[in-house]
Amino acid sequence: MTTWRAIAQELRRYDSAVITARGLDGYPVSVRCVPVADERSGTFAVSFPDTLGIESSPAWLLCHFHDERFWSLRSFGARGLLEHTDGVWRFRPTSFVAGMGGIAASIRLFIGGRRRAQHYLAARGLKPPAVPWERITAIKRDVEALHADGSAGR
Amino acid sequence: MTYAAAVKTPPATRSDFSTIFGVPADVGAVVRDFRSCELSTFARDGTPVTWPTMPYFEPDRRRFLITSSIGLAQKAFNIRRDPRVAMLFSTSTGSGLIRPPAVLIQGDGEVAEELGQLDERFESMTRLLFERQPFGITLMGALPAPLRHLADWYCWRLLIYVRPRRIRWWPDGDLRRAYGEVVL
Repeated sequence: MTTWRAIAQELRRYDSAVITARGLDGYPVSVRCVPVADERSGTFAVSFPDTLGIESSPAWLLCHFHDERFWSLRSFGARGLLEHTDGVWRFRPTSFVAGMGGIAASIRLFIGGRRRAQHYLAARGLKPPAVPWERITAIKRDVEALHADGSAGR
Repeated sequence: MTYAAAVKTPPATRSDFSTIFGVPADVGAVVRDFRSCELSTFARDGTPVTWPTMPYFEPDRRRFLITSSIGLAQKAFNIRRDPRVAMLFSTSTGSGLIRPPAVLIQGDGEVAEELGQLDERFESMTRLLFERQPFGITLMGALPAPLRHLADWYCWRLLIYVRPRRIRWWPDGDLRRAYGEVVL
């Protein structure tokens, strides 16, 4: 499956996406848009407000979702290039980047994250810090009590 | 009634984002009530990389605090190399806000050298996360004490600070409309 097709397939699971490029001042610029797939050119048409000041540059496309309780997280990203042709901004993807969502992604995240964390500590000669689980559990209990009386989650 | 609408939203105060930076109150509400923002950093090759994250505004320091496990630290490595970042607030799910503005904050990031400790403000952020993500509490409760060490890595966190330099907003989230802007 081509990168373009993989992204087009995943995009169907989302209402919209976030496109990020480099602004003329050198900072990243992101906007939410609804990408329009164009298989013939291998691109996705995206909209940027004309007044934002962006340039043809390396770019990133993100789709993500969470529910009202900030859960059911899922996401993916795509590297690519932002091009301006015939008055239209187009995102040309070069690679698909898996994000969150699903059991396989969660296992990959957990195993990979743990390995990288251990490497981070080892590379700096740091001992694994103690995690204050009792304090965290106490916060959890407090918040559960707030949820029970409906005053949490502002 | 939505989950977010069922709970109380505090009024704006003198330490509210909107008051501090001189932006409309509904922009401050977005920063306060949105569950996530899309944080962009630059990879080594100059490609912007954007992933969702939970920001925590520290009014007394006029900056955002974002934390990242050292096992998922690419954004922190990127910021150490190039501090220019952007935070887009465009996902209103769970906020309870109706037709909120889209808010784009560009700024400079900084990553503390030391790992974060569970001090007062880190505790406040943890509390807010638990309040907004109740299923996370259930998961944590399901983890037996003898197995907690397997999840330690997720709690070893780097602290990332973002100081806003430019704030833009689009009323009603409509990008076809003229945006408001404050340059700091």
